[in-house]
Amino acid sequence: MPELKKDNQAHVSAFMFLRINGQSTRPMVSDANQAGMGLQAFSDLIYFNSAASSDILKTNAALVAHMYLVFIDSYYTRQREAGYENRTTPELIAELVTLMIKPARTVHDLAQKADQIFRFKSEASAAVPLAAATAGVAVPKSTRKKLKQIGNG
Amino acid sequence: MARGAWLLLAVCGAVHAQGTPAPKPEPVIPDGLQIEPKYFEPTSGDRPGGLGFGYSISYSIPALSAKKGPAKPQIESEFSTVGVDFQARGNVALNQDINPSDFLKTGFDFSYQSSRVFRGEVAPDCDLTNPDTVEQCAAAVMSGMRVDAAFTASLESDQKFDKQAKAYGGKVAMAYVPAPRSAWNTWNPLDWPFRLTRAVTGYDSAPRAEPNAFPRFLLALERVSPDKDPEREAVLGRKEDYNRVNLEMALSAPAARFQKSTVTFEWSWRSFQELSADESIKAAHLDHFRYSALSLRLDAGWRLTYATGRLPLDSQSDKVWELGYQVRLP
Repeated sequence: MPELKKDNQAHVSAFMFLRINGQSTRPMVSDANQAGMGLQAFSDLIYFNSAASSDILKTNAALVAHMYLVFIDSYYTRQREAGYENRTTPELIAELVTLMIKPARTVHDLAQKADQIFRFKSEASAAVPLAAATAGVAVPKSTRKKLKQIGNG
Repeated sequence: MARGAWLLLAVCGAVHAQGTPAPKPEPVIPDGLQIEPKYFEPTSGDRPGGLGFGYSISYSIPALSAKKGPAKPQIESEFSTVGVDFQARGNVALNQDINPSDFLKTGFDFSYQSSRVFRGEVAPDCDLTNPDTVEQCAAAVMSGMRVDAAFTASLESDQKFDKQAKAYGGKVAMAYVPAPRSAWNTWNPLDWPFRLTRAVTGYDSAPRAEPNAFPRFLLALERVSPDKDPEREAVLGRKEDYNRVNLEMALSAPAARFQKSTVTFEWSWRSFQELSADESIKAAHLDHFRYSALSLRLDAGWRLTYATGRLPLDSQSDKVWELGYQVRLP
């Protein structure tokens, strides 16, 4: 099972959210004393009460998922990935909950899901959605002329 | 046969409820059945222990609201919506007699969901994009509340399907994580023992209230229609529908630190009470069922559970220790 990566903001968001909100006390990556949070199964997080009924587990997981989405939206520079830009908050929560009620899935899986949904500022391919977003924007005549000159140069 | 017809009816109902207008989100399809092998050790009587497993599967079709949202919706900190859920969960023992929670429930919910969350405060020396500053970010802890209210239809059975019943009605589940400085968090009596054990074992440096330790609640009122229940039929002399109230309270809280791992305490208490039960049903103790499970789990997959009482369709009260270890199936 893979570790979280400090240079991936989706992974950082999962680590910061779960540590700050008391779901886990593990370090971001494994050290000599303790395994990293990326390896931690959901069933070992605090919200996962396996003694409770599935109704309570789902409601609890949905609340944590909602918090996580608002956490990312509030504190990280990001935009939605293609395929997720039209999803509403309840739809995104339902997708996270489907993952988060599986006891053997890990925090790394959650971080990867956040990475699928959001494109964070530091991601190398951030230009791709920018180009997609500007594809339909009309370019002024003067700018088109300058771009043509650059192309000819 | 009757079970198959019931499920088909429920599927058709859910599909019909979706309607046709407005593009709907893709269903969230579970990518695997979750199975947890278990060993059951009864503490009452001379019965031997035995192997078994717990299973769960869930399928959600979120946000069936008719109104169309904006083209690029923002993340909302507060919303209400409706959706459809399918879920199945149960506990199966190879020897049914030692199953502490011999109660399988499979059904559909048409639910109204309301959720609201609140951000914490970000201290000046906290940089949420830098994991090295996590210790300075404690004040950014979030709070919130979610309520799921649903019309529900389900099939209940024991693991051998010797007893079966259809149930339909309404239910409300609530999860609340109070703000750290709120009175709800400070005065939550269920967390008091764990504040002490957390401090003593080094989980916390001093006794501190834990917002996640606030209990969760479920209240359900269902009309139960028994298909097969020899015990009830023997007592009543006929098959008869009845109303039942189900109350559940559950708690999950960090309890201690053990060799650098977190020990988590889990608890669930469930009560099923038949309303206006016949005197003969009361005399046979078939009008109420109580079940309680307590677990201590170590942040490494191991879990020790003590379950006592019985769930509906279970004819005898059990006291059983379970030792479980979670495995991941592809």
